[in-house]
Amino acid sequence: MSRYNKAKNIFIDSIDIDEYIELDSAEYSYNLIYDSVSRPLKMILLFGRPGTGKSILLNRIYQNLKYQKEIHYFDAPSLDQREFFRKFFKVVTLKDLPKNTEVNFTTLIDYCKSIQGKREVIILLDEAQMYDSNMLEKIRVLSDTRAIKFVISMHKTDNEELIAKEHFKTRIWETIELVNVNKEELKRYIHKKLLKHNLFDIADTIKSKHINLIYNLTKGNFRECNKMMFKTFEIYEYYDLDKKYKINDKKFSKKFIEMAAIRLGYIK
Amino acid sequence: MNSMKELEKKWFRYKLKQSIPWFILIFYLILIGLYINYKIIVDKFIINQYNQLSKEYFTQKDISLEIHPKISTIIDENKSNILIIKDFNKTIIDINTSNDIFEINDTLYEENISEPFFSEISPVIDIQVPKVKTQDEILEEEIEKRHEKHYIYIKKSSKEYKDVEKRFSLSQDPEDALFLARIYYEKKKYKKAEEWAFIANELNDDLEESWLIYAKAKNARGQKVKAIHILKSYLKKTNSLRARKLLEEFRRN
Repeated sequence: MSRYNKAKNIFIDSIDIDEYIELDSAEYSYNLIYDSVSRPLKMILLFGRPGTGKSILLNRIYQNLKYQKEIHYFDAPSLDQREFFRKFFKVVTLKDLPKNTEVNFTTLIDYCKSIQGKREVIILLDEAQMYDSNMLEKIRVLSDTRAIKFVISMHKTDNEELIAKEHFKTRIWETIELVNVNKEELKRYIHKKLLKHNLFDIADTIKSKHINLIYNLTKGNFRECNKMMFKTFEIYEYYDLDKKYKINDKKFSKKFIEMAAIRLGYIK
Repeated sequence: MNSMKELEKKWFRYKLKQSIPWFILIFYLILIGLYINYKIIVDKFIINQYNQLSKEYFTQKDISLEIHPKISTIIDENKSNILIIKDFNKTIIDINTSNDIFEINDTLYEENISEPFFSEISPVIDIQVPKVKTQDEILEEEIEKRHEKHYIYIKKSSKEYKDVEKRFSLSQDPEDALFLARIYYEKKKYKKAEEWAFIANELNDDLEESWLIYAKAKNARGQKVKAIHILKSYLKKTNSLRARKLLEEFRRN
């Protein structure tokens, strides 16, 4: 496997905690969530544009607290209410729901009230904008039992922000917004990712001018940046196999970045 | 493989599109550069042409005055009253090169020291003395004014001289005019006589009788002064005895 193939795979968009890169802005958000989870709050809202690192942040919280607290991570949204409550039932009662049965919501509320003060269950809900208003209403009612604490992650769009505020405005105790990173952090992010996999030589060739170009194309969005770097190294990989003379090992290619941007539709 | 080639083509198109503003900018800069360069060349050319022309036309010459002969005679007569400036050219050069006086001796001034600012101007001296006209001159002028007329008046006065007048209109014979002047004078038609005498004189001013009839007709019409001057001017020309006698006669009367 060529080093460019290795570099390419580093930038596959995933929420793998091993691939988590500690950045100042992400660290600040992490600490906020960590403190909020420790306090007796009903709900914590985490929102931001897609690709700002919400999912990996939730995953990191889960990984770090899963042995300390009764915390559960719902990474994929359950569009079907029955599916959601089946999962919820299991994490709350620690038992599987019998087949061909469904959860009685009133009974579930009563159960949650019964465990109040005895247990503190934390549910991390990713992609919460996918839930309908009825589901969100039931989540609100569950949080009112004070036995269940929800950390809800949502995309920041005008509509979704409105929903979040309308449904949870009285119950949200902490709101954390994630934003795109600046150039400096983007540079650190790319370099750290490569250095983590011992690709020092490649990291060394990526200079500020390349970062500026990547930043202008991706606006500091992690997901876009990952896509861009993945595509760039894919092009590198192609030339490394077929036309090695076109690659200068000592100089990172702006041309390949631009080609990747054309391929991804950032440049038309 | 093919997709990568296609991607490269797209990238080339993108770079070309991106570099168009730079090409335009470079093109304009080249144009501006060429314009400035051209202007400098043209300016140099004009300056050279000017310098050449100024060398041709403004060559250094000694300043000398050509004195009109009339003035020279006056100068000779009044030498004691004329102030003569010696070493005129030397004085000018001394003043121009004196750095003590002109501390700001700029380059333009220095450049032009070698090439004179002025060319020689030959003096044109024309002294016009207003003339006081004498009576003779006034008379002469009048005659000259009349002489300026290049046409002849022909007037048919009466039936008996009709034939002569008719003939004169065709022949323009001064003798015919003189005949008519004589006849009109005898008939005491002095104005007519004066006119025909004048016509005869116009055609031939050597006809003495035309002068005399003209003077007599003038005298007869009470213009004695004019008549005397006519005779005087004729006498200057011919010194005629008849004219002198007539003049004396006019004076006596």
